[in-house]
Amino acid sequence: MSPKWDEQLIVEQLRDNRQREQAFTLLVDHFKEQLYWQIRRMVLSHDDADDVLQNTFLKAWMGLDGFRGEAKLSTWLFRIANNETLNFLERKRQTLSLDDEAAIGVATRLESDPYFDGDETALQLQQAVAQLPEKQRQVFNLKYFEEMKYEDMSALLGTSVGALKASYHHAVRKISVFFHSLD
Amino acid sequence: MKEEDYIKQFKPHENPFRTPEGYFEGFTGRLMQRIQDKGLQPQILQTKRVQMPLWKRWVRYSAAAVVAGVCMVTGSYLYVNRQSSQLYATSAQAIDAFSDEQLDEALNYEIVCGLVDNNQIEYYLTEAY
Repeated sequence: MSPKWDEQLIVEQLRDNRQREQAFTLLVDHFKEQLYWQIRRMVLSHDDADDVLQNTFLKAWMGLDGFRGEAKLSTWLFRIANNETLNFLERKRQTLSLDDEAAIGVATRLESDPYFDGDETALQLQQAVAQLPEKQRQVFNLKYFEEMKYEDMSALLGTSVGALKASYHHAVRKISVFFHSLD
Repeated sequence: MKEEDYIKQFKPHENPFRTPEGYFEGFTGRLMQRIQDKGLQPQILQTKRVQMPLWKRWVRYSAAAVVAGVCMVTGSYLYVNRQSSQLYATSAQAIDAFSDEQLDEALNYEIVCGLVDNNQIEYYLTEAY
């Protein structure tokens, strides 16, 4: 994150043709890590996360004139990233058959991933999280790993706090069952 | 929540995911270079209105109605039980009455209907959200 972040100033500069490239550079610098981890927890591999992150910022750049400043920049970017991530997972699901997915397995894929250092428990946790439906997984990641408040999540995802709580509860239940089954 | 406490023990103390050396430091430069190389410029969004098929709308509204119905029945059941001092444990149990599909449908419904901004709604529709 850059040390000086003045959102209002950045928004004004993004609207100015002469300053928008410089302002966009600051925007990328400010949000790249936050968005990367949000994406990475969903797609798991670094290469995939890098692709989705680049596409997210390219979409943001191309759609800059569509940003009217009604939402915060973080909300706007989060939603683009979210959309890109879900589209990516959907495309991947269409290209990989269920058999392929089952044969490879999340744990096996992560074990051979040079950018994953987790121990056996971390692998099992990722395996448990991977079995959740995508939206539930997203809610679980934001709450469990990022410790995001439901109210903030609600603003980002456009979903009510009640629905998010219910979704998280379901996810916790399934992950708990998964670990109990290993005992 | 007992189960939440149970799964907390599996949370790693450190992020097990890593990135290649210098990845974040070089990211912005690579991205901006890509934008310049391709000559990409922000575009005025030509939002096309995508009409959701009628049957799809009805399916969504029906699913939402079912969820609302289940909520009402569950709520009434909880209320009546509380009145008669028969404890129905927690609202967590009530949530369990829903299937994943019902919850996902409710989330989808809210995502579509909960947005304030028309452009956002169009964006999600055109992007096959």
